[in-house]
Amino acid sequence: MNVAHFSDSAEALMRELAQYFAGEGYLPIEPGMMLPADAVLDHMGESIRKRLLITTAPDGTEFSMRPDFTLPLAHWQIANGPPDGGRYSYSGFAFRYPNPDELTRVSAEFRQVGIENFGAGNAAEADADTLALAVRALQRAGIGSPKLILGDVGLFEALIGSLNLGEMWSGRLRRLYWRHTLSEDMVLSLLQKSSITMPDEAALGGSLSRMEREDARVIIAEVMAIAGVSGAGGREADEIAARYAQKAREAEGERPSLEVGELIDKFLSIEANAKDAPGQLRDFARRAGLDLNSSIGGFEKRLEIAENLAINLDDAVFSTTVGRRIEYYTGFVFEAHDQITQAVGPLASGGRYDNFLSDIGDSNTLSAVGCSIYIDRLVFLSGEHK
Amino acid sequence: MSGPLVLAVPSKGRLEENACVFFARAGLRLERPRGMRNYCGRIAGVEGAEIAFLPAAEIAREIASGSVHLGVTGEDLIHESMVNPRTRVEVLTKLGFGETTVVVAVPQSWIDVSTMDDLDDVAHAFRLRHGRRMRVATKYINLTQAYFSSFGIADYRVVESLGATEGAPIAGTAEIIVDITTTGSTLAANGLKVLDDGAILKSEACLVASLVADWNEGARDTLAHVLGLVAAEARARDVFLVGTNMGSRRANFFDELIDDAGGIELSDQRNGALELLVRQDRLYEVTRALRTMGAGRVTVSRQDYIFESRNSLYEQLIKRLEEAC
Repeated sequence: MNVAHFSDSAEALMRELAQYFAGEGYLPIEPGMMLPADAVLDHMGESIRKRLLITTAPDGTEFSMRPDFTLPLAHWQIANGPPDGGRYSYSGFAFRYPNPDELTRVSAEFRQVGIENFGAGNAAEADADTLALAVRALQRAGIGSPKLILGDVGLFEALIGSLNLGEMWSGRLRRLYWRHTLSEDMVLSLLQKSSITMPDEAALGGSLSRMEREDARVIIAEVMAIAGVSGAGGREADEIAARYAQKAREAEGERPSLEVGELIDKFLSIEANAKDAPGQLRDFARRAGLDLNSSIGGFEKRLEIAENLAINLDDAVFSTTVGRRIEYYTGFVFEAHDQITQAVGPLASGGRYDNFLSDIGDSNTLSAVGCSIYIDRLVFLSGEHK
Repeated sequence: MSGPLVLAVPSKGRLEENACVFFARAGLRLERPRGMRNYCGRIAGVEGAEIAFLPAAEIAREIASGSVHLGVTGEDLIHESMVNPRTRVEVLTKLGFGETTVVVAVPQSWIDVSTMDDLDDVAHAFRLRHGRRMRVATKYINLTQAYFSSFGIADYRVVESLGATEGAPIAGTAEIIVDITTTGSTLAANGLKVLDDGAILKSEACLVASLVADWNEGARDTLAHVLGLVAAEARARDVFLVGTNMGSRRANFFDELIDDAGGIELSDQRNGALELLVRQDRLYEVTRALRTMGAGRVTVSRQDYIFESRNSLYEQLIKRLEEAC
């Protein structure tokens, strides 16, 4: 593990882009370097732990160096920002131990410049604006026409919603979407796996599966009360009973059909030129007999606004994969890559994450969209291209 | 460069006793010159070896960092304390004690949960319903993370627990646990059950070597001495020496004796005198066959050591060290 080298070019680029965002009306904020480790882990989950720089205070409290700027800026907004939000920019080091496959850094420190737009009234305009600002920032860094990959996480959410699969299966499919790498028939194989088996009480399960939901739940809650099973482990008896009854019904065959699995896999495999994507998505929805018009229209609208802002989308690609590594995205997402050297990872990425602030305790439930520019990758590339 | 070979041995409890028995069986007597309170020791008659008596978890970390050469520790601790064990340690031999399993256990009252897939559903629903992540009490933070993520489970938080982990759900400090169990009785006593696919790792005590320690010439010489005795004793423990005299009755008796089942090796054969190394489960069969073929008296004995021409454990490690370079 090395420490970050001082780099004139990186510092200069970081300053220039920070000035650019500030000039566009994004108030520069310098959040603290440290966050309570609990706040980071609660938000990002245990899988990030190995990559965090954690230190322990003498009283045992753990702190983490900021792994990005979005979380500290969201905390800043909640503590100090006006109730209707604001537009903020940041620049500086964030801290994560690198993934073994990262080409551009051997240090746990990396430079980021970016913006957050909290509480914007017109979501489509704010999303397109964010994309346009990211592209122009890259142009200032010498990337004339980055390779754009666009997507919209809301499309998958709309698809799942319109299929009426029930809470458990909707949850499973969402988790599959966020947490697994894309494979051709992943949803179909999940459905074919049919791993749902009931424990020894299969007879009970069988009877429960034929009852009304509420009746089944009441019976299990009573059985558990008779057996003296308490709500140990933080789940209430009725919570356990409801899921047990649901599992019993699934074991008896109440589950999405294989056709539904094929349909979702087909959606996930859609890849198109961004400007052709709305047409292809409408074809898909029409054949499937689903109404996805408002989501598709929303995506299309963002393309239109971006083009009106003179962002060239002729080579931009639509993908259902983009943004899926960051679970908090809720809508429009984008990545900008170098045209040739894509292995360094995105040079800029961003998107909409409307539940972020309320998830960490914002009572104003502000919407949010933002993007980050990866300075070290840009500096690495300028070295490569020389 | 020359320096001592540092061997780390668990400092207390059953692991220490069993480790001392293991080395004593190979004729290596571990000495603690100033009694149990002393954490440095030596091996009687082996110059150039130092013993560090350490807690088992620390041994795994010291092996990973290369500050000790050899150590006795559990596989669970090896996998917990380093990211990619294959690049840092070589497991030389399993020791047949300290057997345990690292498991995922949930409250027995969770009658709707019997698999990791169930747990994934429940963890997700728990977060939606309670507005926080399900807590997992464990000292195996890395094993837990790797195992949970292999099932795509992300809606949980680890609560580090260094003792009495089984009590955490009852105490209300966690919902579920990841811990070691041998019989499951402590788990049951605390109202917990192991998930059907909740066995993360089966573990036993092992003799392991660090691939990143300073393997100078002196350390290697001492290593050859120690591992030579360990391997020779292990070899001797597996087999019996069977001796007889076939006279001139058969020339090809050995070919008639061996078959695909294994466990029979020729040790020596000279002027009709025959010595075989035979695994215990084939012993009676072999002695009977020899007598059928016309042997007279057949004697069977245990050996203390069998030194093969190659020092197999030593060569195994040297090969790995060369690969690592």
